[in-house]
Amino acid sequence: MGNLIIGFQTVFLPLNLILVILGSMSGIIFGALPGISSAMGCVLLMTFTYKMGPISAMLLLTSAFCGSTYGGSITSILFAAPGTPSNVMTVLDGYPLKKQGRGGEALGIAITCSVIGGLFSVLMLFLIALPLSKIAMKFGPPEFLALAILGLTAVSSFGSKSQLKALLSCCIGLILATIGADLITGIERFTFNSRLLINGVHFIPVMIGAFAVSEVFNQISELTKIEALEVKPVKVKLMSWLTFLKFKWLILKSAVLGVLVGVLPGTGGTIASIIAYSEAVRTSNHPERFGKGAIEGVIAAETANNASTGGALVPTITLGIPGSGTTAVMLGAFIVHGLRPGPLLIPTQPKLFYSILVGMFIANILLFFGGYLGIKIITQISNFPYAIQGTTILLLCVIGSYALNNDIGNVWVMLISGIVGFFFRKIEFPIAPLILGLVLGELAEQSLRQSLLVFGGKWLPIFLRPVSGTIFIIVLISLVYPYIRNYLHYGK
Amino acid sequence: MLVELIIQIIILLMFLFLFIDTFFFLHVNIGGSFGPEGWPRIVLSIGILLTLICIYKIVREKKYIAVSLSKEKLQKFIIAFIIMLIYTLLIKPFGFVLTTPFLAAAYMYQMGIRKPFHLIFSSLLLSAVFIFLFGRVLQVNLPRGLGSIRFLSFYFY
Repeated sequence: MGNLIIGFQTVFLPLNLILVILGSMSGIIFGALPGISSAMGCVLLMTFTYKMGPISAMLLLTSAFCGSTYGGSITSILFAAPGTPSNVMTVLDGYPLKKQGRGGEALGIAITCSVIGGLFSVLMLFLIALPLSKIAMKFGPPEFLALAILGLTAVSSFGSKSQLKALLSCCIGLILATIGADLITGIERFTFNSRLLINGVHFIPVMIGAFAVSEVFNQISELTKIEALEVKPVKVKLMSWLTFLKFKWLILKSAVLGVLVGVLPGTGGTIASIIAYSEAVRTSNHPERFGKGAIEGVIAAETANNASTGGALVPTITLGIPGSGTTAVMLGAFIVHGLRPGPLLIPTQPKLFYSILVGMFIANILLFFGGYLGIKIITQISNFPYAIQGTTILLLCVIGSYALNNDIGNVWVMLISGIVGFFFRKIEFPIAPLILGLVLGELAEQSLRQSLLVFGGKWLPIFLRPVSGTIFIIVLISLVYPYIRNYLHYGK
Repeated sequence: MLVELIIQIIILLMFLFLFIDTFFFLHVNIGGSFGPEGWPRIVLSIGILLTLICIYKIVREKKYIAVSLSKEKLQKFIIAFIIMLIYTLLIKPFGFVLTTPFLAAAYMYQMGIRKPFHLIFSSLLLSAVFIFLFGRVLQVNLPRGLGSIRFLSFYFY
């Protein structure tokens, strides 16, 4: 309880409170703009945090994470253009509602359900994270190896169209992570006598290049700009108590599903909203209404994707295992600010953890107000020519890469990653697994080598320990799951 | 098909090259664990296997992504890349203040802003906002350039 009070005191310092407000608002804007994903928004915002303390930096980024998940619903409802992938399901009923002249109602429902889902996820983060980190303190290298492998394979199995390409992308990330001096022996690997490569490839410029620069290059090559949006006044109508009471169980069910799915590595808001939406259709008395403007569809999708935010941070903070591109960026931000997420983070940095909790709580409350303002701002920003938006993003990318450690080498890494990311997008090669491979590579390698040292070079004991063995079984299931799913659905 | 196949072959060649390179690492025997070459070899072996499967799927099963990369699109991408390449080459000797307005103007021109006044005004304003925000307010280190340009940059941030 004392820590929670300290968290409130920290967040309510004027600077931190401003950062939470700014984070929340910028998150809404990034989330709403098609072409700027949640991960890309957080990467761009990270540029602003280099000179901040870790608490302030994480408050800005986690608030943006909360805001971006909601922000995507605005353009989903108004223009049938989901700002982030996790808002795809919102389009199905949100846009038909808007066409029926009920856009204000849909936006109000999206705001209310996003806030409820977000607050529920903060509560769950509070309840789950501490016990999980206590359990994780008993983990040894085999368990961390298993968790790292789970993180890598799950994102490939659940979060991608092609498991094969996702695994390949993971391998590229893992190999990039080996560049530089080996941490155990100090021997140089893949440096080719280059001074620039001795310290390895920093994952921040790779993230910036792969997520942001490649997207701008893509927009330039496609010759498309974000179309000027037709601005019509929409009066937002918050969800009434009657509607809330009518759908209270659907909201609760979607929130629980969102948190549970969010906790699983490799899933996140998109899968959470799909599962919650499917569940809403399955249990509805009028499934035929879905896709034609059923408010239950907006409720389920928006509650679940926002509920997944807190869930997604659970493994990131307590185990140091991010499950998605956005949480990989979060992990990167922790490391940039000298922190190492894992079981020891909460016991050693309680102020930081509780400040994040309180910050996310405030950020979610702010969605109520930011939601209104966000709709107005977004329609204005969307009218900006892409020439300005794209150039701004590129300048942020350059500064974000250079200022990391005042090294032009990082700008080169960013540029190369941008080109690779551009071509990967073209052949639908997922980028998130590459980033996860780069982030988790060191942990996976060190854990494997330490495990082999402990067990005298024997591999079998790694798989026979209760926790690591169970996780490896889950890894195996997640690897074969797509094939079973295809077989059941298509019979092949 | 061709674009995807070329990319997969490049990845395969890169993996093979790196795999061979692991044999030139200094070998150190540490207890029961493997040396610095062990982990990269495991990952590269899996990578090579996966790439071969991907290539097989493209060539034999004709499972590939129809890439919409026309000559015009590729040209636009190459120009965008060259602008950033030149900027990256020049930013160290000439600094952020001198090079950024040109970068901004080049991209804005490429993305459709044609009126000279709009182009000059927008690029200068955007650069000024970035220099003020990051250089002054947030105290982020921006490239200063060399020689007298470095000296000049201290007037801005």
